[in-house]
Amino acid sequence: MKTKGEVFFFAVCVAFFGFMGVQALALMGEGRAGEIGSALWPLIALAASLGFSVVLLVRAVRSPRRAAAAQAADRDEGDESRRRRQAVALSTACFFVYLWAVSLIGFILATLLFIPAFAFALGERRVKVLVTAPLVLTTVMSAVFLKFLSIPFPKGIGIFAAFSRLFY
Amino acid sequence: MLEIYAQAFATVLLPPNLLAMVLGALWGLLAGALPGISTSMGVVLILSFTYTLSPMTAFVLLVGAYLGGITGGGITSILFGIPGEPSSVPTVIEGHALAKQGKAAAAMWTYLLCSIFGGLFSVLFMIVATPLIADFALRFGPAEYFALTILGLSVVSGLSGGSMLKGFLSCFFGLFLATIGTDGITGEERFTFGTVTLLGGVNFVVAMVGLLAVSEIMIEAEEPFKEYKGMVEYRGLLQELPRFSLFRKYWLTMIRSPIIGTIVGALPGAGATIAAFLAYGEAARTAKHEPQKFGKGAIEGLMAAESANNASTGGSMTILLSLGIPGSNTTAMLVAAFMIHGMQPGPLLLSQRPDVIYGIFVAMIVINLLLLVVAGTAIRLFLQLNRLPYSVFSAAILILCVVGAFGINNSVDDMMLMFVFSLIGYFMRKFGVPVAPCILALVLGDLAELSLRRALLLAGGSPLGLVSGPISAVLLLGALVSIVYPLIKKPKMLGAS
Amino acid sequence: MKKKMVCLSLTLSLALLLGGGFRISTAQAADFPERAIEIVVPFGAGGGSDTAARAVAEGMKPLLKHGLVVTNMPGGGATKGMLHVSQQPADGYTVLAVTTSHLIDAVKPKTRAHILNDFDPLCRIQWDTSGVIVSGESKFKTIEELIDYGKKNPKMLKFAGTSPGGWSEIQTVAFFKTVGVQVTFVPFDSGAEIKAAILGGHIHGAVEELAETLPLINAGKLRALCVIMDKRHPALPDVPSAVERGINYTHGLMRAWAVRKGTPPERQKFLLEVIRKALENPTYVKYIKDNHLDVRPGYLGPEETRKYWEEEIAFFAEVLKDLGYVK
Repeated sequence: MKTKGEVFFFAVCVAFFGFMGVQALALMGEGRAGEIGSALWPLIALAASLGFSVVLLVRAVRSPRRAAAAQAADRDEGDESRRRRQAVALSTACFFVYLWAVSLIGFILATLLFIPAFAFALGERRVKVLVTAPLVLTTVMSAVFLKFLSIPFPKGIGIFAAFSRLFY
Repeated sequence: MLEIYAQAFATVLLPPNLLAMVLGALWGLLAGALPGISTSMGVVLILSFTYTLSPMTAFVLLVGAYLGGITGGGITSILFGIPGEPSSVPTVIEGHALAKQGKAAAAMWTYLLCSIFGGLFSVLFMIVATPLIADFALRFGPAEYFALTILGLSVVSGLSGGSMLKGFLSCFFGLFLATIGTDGITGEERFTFGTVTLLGGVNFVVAMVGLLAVSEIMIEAEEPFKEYKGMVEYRGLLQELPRFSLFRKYWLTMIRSPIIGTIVGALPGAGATIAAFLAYGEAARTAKHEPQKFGKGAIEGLMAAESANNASTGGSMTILLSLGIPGSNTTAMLVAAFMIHGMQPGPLLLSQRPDVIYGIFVAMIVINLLLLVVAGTAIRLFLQLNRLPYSVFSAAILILCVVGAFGINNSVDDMMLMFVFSLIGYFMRKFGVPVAPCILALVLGDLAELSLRRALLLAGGSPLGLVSGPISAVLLLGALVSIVYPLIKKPKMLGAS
Repeated sequence: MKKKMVCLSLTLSLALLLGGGFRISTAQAADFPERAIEIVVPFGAGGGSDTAARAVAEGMKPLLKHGLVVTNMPGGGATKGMLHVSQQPADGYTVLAVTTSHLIDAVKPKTRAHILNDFDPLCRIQWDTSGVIVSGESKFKTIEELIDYGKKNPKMLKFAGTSPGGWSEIQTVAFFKTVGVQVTFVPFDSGAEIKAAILGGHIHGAVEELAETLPLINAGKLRALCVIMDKRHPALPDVPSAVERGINYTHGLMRAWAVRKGTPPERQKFLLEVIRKALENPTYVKYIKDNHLDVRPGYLGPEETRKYWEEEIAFFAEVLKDLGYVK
């Protein structure tokens, strides 16, 4: 499993750096007289990255022994490991939704909803924590960042903007 | 001479000035510790309160905020793994790793002592050698900047952990990231794909928050659930303070880092962040005791970075007070403060208003000593946060990350960019690609490329221009040695994973 | 118990939401402005544009019932802030601090928002003065010596600036073109770096705004060869002006304020009135005096500003074509 992942990861690297390399070629010829131009430096960085990724990809493909060992280990871990991986995916998804929500419904409401959702995704089941933490944390964060430091966070759209304007 | 200083001390220690220093230091610490509020923003925010103050009170307040800000960055870095200030990123890498090993308190006190030591060192350095530092800094042209950044990048093998191959991959990835955005020489857009967000390039605070802090939370989420973060059992001041033997063991780092910090701080094109990274890199390169620990909680790296970034304040102030050139964003704010009070910072200021110049020198010493007390108290309070439930603590860190990413440019797009980087960071860590070289390259890459191209423009296209000066030649030679030497010494490292 | 709490907070937030909605519906009738005006500065805190905007804003605050906020929105060489304002409703609540870089942007084919087509100018507030600056130890003692050297050694004269393809490059290259010299422009990241590079003897000089360099000029570390204006600069009475030396070039950095096109005229008028009062505020007057921003009259009304912009844009189009930025 680990090796399979590794192969996939370095393959993505190769594709990414290759693609960017092609983009960089389009910059060739831009520059002032007497210097190396816009393209050369990124091309060097990309070529080197591409080279290292290819080497690492080849090595990942060619290590069957470690693959077998890793697979055995993976089987042993079983359910618990899969559950934890789900927790990662779920909490990451929560975070992503939060980032969207901030501009959609404003910082205060988004934060208020994000904290319990994220804590739950991590595995928090203490009801006391899930109820009090969002209220306390949101109040503290809003007071410090919105009121005290007046960072201009998005207020949300429509009715949510009106709600946000009540506070900041 | 002595009389001038005695008088300056008497002025600085007047009650209103003393109060201003404490308030400034407190405010600075807060601004430094909070992601999203940089030291320079912290100084801007109190600038408008200084209109009505007497000049001396205004300056000690602002300088207090400046020194406090640079110091405060370390607190959030160690405790939450978020760089409160860009200059504290090496502190995140080493300090937060130490915190996770349950050594948060020890790391905090070491960081504070090193910060104050670096700050005091640079003030004394500055008092003794202002003209010397200024002259030396002016000798840095594009070729010298280029050599300096290459020397900084050459430590990458020291930061790679196990596999040098992966370290180099990470480093070149960082160099590529640094080229995104508007090209500083031609104005051409590179790799922006028509978006406005990327026009200004990948803001490295945004990238670092994603790569370091958020990905860390994601990695931690994979571990079995803990009820409490609970890594700190506070044991009382005396047990937690680092032993003197620690500083004796790393005496070389403790001397070298503030010198690097002061000089790099005086370079207008570099500053605290680059100073911290260079000192950190030097520590990694020459680490005798535990080189393998770098990236996984090396106290030496923490000491180097924090003493260097605080020492940059002395360098920055030197070039500001002697030439009127702001060496950093924050000292640019101080220029504004001088103007408000009817003074023109420049070479003539020393003869026109010696009281102000010497007052600031003295104030910097006093503020550093005050910070020891103020930040010491703050640290004890901050350590209490470890008693928060783990899930809430993590959520709070993520919100701080969002604030940090958003606050730099007040941009929603930057938040999304941060998310992209957190995914990249997560997979890099998963597959053993070290994150530190990438960040090092992202910090230094832009300056490296642009100063190379500037140097070529100035030399009319001749590469010989790069090594024409003694400084650049020595620095480049050093870089060459430090790249080649580990490859010869430990060729096996290249393959190991 | 806990359920009750949840219910309570839900009701509470619902009430707040409704309250908010109610506020909206009554807002239409209210006078302008009924909330804080936002000034968007498309540069970072502490820069020239930011300081200027904040200085004016300080004078506006007491005149506005709901106050105003200055928001820094740096990025993309002033593009990001402009784009942001062009996407806000045209209700007069968002004001853009315009600088010369927006005019230059208007010439470029890739521009994302056009300063003439998408914005209505409120007024020009400042018109800065630049000078030709070299090191105090430079072999060039007069502007003629510099021009002479430049004519004999094309492209060997190296001048520093900040924004490639932006104001800094344009003013450097256009000035030297007027006197028939081909100059090599070397872009740096900040004014501080440029000054250090000139002082350290790494580059010949720069064409830069004067205010920031005055202390170094007065100390003899830097030397101004000429001020780019039609008369001499009061702070540098010994330095000749460009026009007096027969150089017909007087362009300078401009700062103005604008709102999105389509903003109701009475709101534009209101804002203009407030700004005009703020420009007479003693603190602001002292600020521009200290920074020598009053050497040339800065204020221009809306129509004059638009006309001035059109002329400048036409001029920039020509220079950028020469430089190859616009094909």
